[in-house]
Amino acid sequence: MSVLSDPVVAAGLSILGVPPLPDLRLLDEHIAVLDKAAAHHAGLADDSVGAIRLGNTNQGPAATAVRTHFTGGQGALPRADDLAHRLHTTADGLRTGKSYLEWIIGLLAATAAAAAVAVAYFPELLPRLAGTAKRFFGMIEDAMRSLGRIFTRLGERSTSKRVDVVAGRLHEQWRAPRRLEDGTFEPRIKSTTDSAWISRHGTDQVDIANTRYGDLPADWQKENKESARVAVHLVTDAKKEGVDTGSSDFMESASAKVHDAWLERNGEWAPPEQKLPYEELSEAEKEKDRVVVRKALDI
Amino acid sequence: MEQRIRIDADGRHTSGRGFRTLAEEYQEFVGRLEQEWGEESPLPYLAFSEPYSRLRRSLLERCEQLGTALRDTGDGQTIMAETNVATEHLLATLAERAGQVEA
Repeated sequence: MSVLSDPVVAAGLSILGVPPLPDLRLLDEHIAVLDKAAAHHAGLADDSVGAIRLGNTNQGPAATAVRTHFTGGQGALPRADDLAHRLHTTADGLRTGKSYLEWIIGLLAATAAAAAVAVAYFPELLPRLAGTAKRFFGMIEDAMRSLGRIFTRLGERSTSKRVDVVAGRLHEQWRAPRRLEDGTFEPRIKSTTDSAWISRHGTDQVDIANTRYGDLPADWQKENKESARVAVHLVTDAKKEGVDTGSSDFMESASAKVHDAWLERNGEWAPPEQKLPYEELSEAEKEKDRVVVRKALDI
Repeated sequence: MEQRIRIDADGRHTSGRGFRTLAEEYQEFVGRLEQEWGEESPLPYLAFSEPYSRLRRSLLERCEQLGTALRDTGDGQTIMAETNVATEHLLATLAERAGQVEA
């Protein structure tokens, strides 16, 4: 039985004007569901390794491609591992929140019991007890804000990963027409100012066409990353608001915003035909912005 | 250096079936998870419930993407197995024809 259902405590909380305190049983249910889901994903990672091994007798480029796909950033194995970790961290967050709440609720209950006695025998103590209770309740609100920030960060990491995926796909789309028969790409040499990249490679020259997005210097990732960030946020927000992201209305309004953001970054050097508002762009120019939105919708 | 090529179409088929089974089981699991992990926030504080709800949606979305990745891997293995078998048949036919010409 919860201490909050004790009649003396309930009366004391009412005297102190403390808002209703939460029932923690639902928190237990969520923790149990998340623990089970985290364990399931850890098991799934093992089972999927077992399934890939069934085809391991195969050797050669195709077999290597399968294994790379399976273990690479978007493969089933890292996805299962990542989900196991996130679910586990979320459960831990709830567990920590629950322990903290139990502690504060205990303090509030003690204060409330004191108030129930004070109301009869020491009414002059009531304002001080009310102040103490208010501080304790403020601690609950602070804790909730901290937990909220942790959960936001856990979600944000997934957003930043999605941004990288979209940016990587935009880079692949850009270099695809440059593909040569031998599987390499027609070179496009550029200079970089990314000092970390320069010290790793011993040069400031980078062939951006023959470099995967993840291996590009930061300044050559930047433009695709910024476009991807805008589109991923637009799609995420639209989904949150229940907007039909498959509609042409969404595609056009999102593409217009991608274009506006691009102009803000590149307006200084943009050619006249790209400096126009989205509605006045040629179909070919509009399509460039739609591609970005489409990539964000695809993931 | 020349890369060694070894083809085991049966292995790929078995692997493809394994992934398909995993994908089907996983889809059921995600359906149950979505039900059990109710939308109702476990705590009635906005500073907690809004980010928690967003995180829940984001994780469930990731679950869907994992389901797709499992299905894609299985489909890829099966398609390659069928391509391998078709290639072997073609090679056998060509070898047979070449033998007939020589004879």
